[in-house]
Amino acid sequence: MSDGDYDYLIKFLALGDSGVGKTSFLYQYTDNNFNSKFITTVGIDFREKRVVYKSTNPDGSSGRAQKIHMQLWDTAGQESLTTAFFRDAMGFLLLFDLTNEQSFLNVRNWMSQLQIHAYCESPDVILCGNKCDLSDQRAVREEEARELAEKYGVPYFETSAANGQNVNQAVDVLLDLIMKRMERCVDKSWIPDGTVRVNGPTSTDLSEGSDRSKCAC
Amino acid sequence: MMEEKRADSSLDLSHLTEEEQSTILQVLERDLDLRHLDEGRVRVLEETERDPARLRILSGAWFSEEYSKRHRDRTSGSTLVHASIRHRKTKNRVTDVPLPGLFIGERAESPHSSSGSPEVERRLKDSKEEESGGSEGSFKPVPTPRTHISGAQGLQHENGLSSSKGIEEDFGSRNGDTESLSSGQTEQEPASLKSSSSTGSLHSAYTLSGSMMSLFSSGDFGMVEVRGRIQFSLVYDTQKEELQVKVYRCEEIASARKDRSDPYVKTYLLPDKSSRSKKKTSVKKKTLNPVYDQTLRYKVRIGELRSRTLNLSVWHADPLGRNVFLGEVEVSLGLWDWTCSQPLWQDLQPRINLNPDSISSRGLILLSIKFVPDGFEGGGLPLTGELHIWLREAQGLLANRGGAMDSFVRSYILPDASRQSGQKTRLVKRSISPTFNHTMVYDGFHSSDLREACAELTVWHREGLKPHVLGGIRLSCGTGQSYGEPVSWMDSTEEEVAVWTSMIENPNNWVDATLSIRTNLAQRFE
Repeated sequence: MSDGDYDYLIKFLALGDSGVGKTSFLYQYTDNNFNSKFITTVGIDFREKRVVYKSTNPDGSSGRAQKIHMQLWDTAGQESLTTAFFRDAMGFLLLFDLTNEQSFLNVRNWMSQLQIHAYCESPDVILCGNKCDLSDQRAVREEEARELAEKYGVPYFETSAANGQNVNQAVDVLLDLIMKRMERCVDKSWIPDGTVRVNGPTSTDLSEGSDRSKCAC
Repeated sequence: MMEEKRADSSLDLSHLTEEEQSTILQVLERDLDLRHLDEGRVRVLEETERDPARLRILSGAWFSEEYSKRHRDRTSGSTLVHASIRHRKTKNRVTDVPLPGLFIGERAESPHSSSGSPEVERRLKDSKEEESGGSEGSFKPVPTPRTHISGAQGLQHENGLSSSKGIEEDFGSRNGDTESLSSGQTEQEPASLKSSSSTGSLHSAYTLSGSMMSLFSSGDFGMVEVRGRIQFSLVYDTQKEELQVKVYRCEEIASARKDRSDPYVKTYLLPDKSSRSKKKTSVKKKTLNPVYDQTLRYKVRIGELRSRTLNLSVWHADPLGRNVFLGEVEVSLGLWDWTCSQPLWQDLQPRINLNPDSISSRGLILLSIKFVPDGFEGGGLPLTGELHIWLREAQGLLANRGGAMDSFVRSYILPDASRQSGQKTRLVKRSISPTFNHTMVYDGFHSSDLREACAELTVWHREGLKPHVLGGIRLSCGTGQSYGEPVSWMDSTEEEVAVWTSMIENPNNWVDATLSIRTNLAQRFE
């Protein structure tokens, strides 16, 4: 993986309370493996993976295959240092622990941190309720979580880093969102006479209800 | 906006220990490599991609342009943190930091976990601590089970344990203990050489100074291929009771930076990894064949010598303190031929892959533990759940100096907001395998508390007047959390978790355990 033979460098970041499973989630994604021993992440870390992305055209056919080099940032649960890294990521995986209600309540805080520190006002985020394999320890109802996700306008997945459930799906959806956002930039950013057309919310627009699907470039 | 203002200046990273900073720096170095790789790719793209719109997304320019609209300074988070850490490292370049000094500016326990849940506080306040068999503490006027346990105390060995004659010194305040706890020898796992991840472990303590870390890390930045040899001789002066390590020279050592090294030689008299044991030659600039002709001296009794290992390592002295490991040699002094005082050449070896367990264990602790849920004994007794820790003995206690010692064991139940959970055994003198036969009882528990709590036992020895901690164990579920808050002390090893879990699953039954006394208990601040 040490060659520059890829089309896109995509940077994602996993955030959420300490112990929700961010490291395990990413490890499951990159290595298809799970280690139940808890070793808290020191500050920051990242993993890498090469994937191939094929977009789907409106007519249902597959687009070109693109080689993606993914850099997956893993943050410690403590805010202080990790928010400095938010600005470096194109997309976010916000995790909470389905067996820990406090981690779910803190999703709100993490979202507001994102809105402050990320590269734009409304970055692409996937909300993941992790540890869904621990069904008898569940402390957060699926409906509650879906409601919150809907309120923020983000996709929601119930995942398990332990058995891999929905891990690939969640990351794939996030990748898809980023790629689509980028492709919209291609479509709309340049007009032949050299004028840049600005689309979507500007940086002064703070309302949550703004159309998140538009790329502000 | 406040946030952006702060982003312009250096980050305040004083809460990070030097070791954590090094771990993070390693991650950032990897990120830098990736950035450079990508920059190379983009340079090629700029030549070959004709469509400006496509170039914009392929190169990632779409992202950085968007980002710079928001953040006035174009510094990436990675660069900002990198710069903040290096700035801090340059400031604190003194390698021989006395251990208490390490705690200035240490990370404070994050606010939300310092108080614990109100429920727990109340319970711990109400708990009447029991020190059965101890010579201090109150005895609850409660039925038989207690007496039975007190009886166990009487089973202690008679031989040579004169300490039962009531020598109970108060070894200092809680704060003092905490400091000593941290001065225990701990190590960092060798830096992972895998390219995809370098997760630092919180188990590796906060207490190592940069120089002590060198014993276990493989050189902070850049692995250098070890080559060359070192010439030295060993002489023991029986009159002065002194080991003289004569470092003559090195030949053909590796270059740490582009065709140069500024090498010096460092020695340790293992297993002592303290600053007392560390000695260094001077630095010779820009040479791969340094000549030292220096003698490093250790005051050590001849009897001790045989149990020691001399570690000689060669390092490149980096101006910013990121010294590079250039090789080492280890000599078991028990096997050394002392008749030979001639200078000898030995090839430098790469960093020995240490099994952390073999270094971090200071002996074994044997105990039995049981949990009696409330009402389990019938007749509504006990009133609340009780945790019984029957500390039997320790085996093979290993301090830095080796040999018999005076020791005792302390126990705490965490979270310990009320600071009242401390109990300790009496002092057992002159033994490396002391028998304590002491039971600690803690009540006020509900079964559900067990998953949130941690029983911490630490073994101490007394050197002179001050007690020093050797290490300890933590019995818990090892989840890293207590009552929903992340805490550093839920760091039990697999074996410790197994014992605790077994206790929970077998109420009112003794669970026997033999556990390694480890030195890597994560720091906790109360």
